[in-house]
Amino acid sequence: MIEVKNVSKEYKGKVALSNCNIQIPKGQIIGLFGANGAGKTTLMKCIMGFLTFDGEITLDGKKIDESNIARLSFATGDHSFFPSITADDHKWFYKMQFPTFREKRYEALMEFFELPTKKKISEFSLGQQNQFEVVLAISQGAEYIFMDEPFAGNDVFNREDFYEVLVSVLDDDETVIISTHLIEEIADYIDRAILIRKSEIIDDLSVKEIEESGRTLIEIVKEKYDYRADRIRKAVDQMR
Amino acid sequence: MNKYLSLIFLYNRAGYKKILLVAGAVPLFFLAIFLLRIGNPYAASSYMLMERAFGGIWAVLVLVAVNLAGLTAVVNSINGKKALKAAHSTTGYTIRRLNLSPVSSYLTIFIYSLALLLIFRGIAIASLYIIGKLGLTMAGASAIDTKLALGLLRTKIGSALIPFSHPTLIAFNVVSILALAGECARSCYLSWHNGTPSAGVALIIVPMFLVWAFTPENSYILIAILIMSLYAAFSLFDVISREKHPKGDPFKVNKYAGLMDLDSEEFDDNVHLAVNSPTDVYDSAPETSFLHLYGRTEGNSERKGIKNISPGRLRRRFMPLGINIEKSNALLGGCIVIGFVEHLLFFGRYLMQLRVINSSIIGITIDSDLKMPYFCQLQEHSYYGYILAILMVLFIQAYWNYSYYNKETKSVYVMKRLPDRKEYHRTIWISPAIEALYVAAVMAAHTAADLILYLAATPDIALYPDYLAHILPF
Repeated sequence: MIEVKNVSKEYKGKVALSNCNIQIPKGQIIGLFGANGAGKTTLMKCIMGFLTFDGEITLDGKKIDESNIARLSFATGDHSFFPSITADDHKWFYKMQFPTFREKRYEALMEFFELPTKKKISEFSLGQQNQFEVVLAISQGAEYIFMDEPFAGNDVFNREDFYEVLVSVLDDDETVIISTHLIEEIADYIDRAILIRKSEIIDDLSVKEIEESGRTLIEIVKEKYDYRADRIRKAVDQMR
Repeated sequence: MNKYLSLIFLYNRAGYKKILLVAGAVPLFFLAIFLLRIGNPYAASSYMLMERAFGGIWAVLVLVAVNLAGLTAVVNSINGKKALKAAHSTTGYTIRRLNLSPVSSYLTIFIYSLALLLIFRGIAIASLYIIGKLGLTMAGASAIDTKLALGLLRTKIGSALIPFSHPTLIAFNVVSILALAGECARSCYLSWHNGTPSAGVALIIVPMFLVWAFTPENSYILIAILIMSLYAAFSLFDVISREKHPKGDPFKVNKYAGLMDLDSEEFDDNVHLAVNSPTDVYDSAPETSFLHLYGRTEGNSERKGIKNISPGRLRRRFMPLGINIEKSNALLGGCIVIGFVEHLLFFGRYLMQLRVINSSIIGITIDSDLKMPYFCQLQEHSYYGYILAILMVLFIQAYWNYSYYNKETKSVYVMKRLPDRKEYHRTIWISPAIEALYVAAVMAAHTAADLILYLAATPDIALYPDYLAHILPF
């Protein structure tokens, strides 16, 4: 289990995360929702150890370091691969570096997404690059898979297919944490929703809690974020 | 006119602070050198001030370094804050929207860089004069301080900056300043249109340093002028030819933007750069794989470069996966050339002395006890080039490796997640260290060749009896 305890992060005096506390057990698909700049990516990067922070983050009670970092994988929105080498070369690199690399899963996902294996990644389209990033993250053999806006640039059909594949391909003890704005699309596939607003975790809801509330996830999110439905009308009126 | 000003101001993002900082650093560095060399000006004599202030290689080195830092700040600020392909391409598009041709944008940046360089020079000269005048006044030379302060400009750095009585040096300064400005503009051009800035500024800075620091004979300065003129002409024609014959970019993400749409596929598939490939990294990878080029191998021993040690392969093993090898090769080759050329100082000195000795030999005797200087004496100051080359290759390559992981790509997020976390630091620092060793090996081989020449070509009669005891300087 990953435990985030009292984690805060500041960038040059600007608060990016404020006193965050969450627990991420094995075997869940978790949606991480929030507006741009809310702190979703920062939280993920803190967990991965890319950023320094105040507080404590542990994996099964142990600090995350080189001894257990391979248990986490991360599909960034920034494309964390080597653009000038091929997909096959990435596979070899991952095989060499991550002993738990799941080659079979990799091959199957590459085939599913119809991604070319002999082409340099820089020659992939944006959507293909996002897919490839996700394929690598899922195939690394990690127990906790973090994905930051993994579907940017993908069409709606591709995304639907991906959700289906993701749900069916994962083992019971694998955990996926997805940061995305596509709340409605992903709502049916997640077990839990964590809402971040202005650097703070404002809610942590299980599917059961959402169902019991009698509302949809998007309705809850709109309420939590003080969404004002009349702002569009006001803006249009002002422009006229 | 407004369009051209827009070009400067639109992209000069937050760069003015760095430029001001560099401009302020010039007098501060000169003051520091002045005080370090003089000590207490009140206790110094005017003569001592004349002799020592601003003399030596350090003032030249500082001015060259400050010039370089200033130009880099200008180029980077004009290129935009982020060294990302998107920022560069966007700049290229904006230039098109301003209806400026790439060549006219090149010329605009050329003039801008030229103006900044002249300002740097002006500040340098003024600060030399003011510091010299103040120092002389403190040393009690109040009556003649102005004249003496002007005289201070005739010290090492002064004569480099304002070569009153050295017409070839004046010509060299003019050509070098034009070449520098041209290279800055070319760097911006390449960034905007190809996503990769030029590294050619270093090619001009190095001869500037050598000429200023050693003020060689006119013939050498003329050769330097010729080389710089040719290089400046190459820069200009390179820009024009790139505009006329756009080339595809091997990485495709940085493909030549020009008038083409970034989303189009109109780039030349035949143009490919050699990049560090995984085939050399992991031997077991398929032969078509780039891994072969990277020096990585599957077995643990080979991963550490123990097995199958070949110098080129070892270097590639410790380079970041996918990095542009051609660029690294060019840096290594360029650095070796710098060291080699500067070390020819020994050869020149030796030949000169040998000619004098040969003309003094009468039969089996030598006129007026003329002797060939000791080997270590002839070698004096001939290693600056190699030392500079070692430092350059070490730090520039390390920076490129770091920049590849963190700026050109975001592969740092993979590298920092590897169970073997040292791999990230290894692939940043070890390949530059290996390259530095290569340069050192070339330096050793060059010295050995010098020694063989010294021992084989010097007449025995002209050698000191204890010449073998003075091969090494210690």
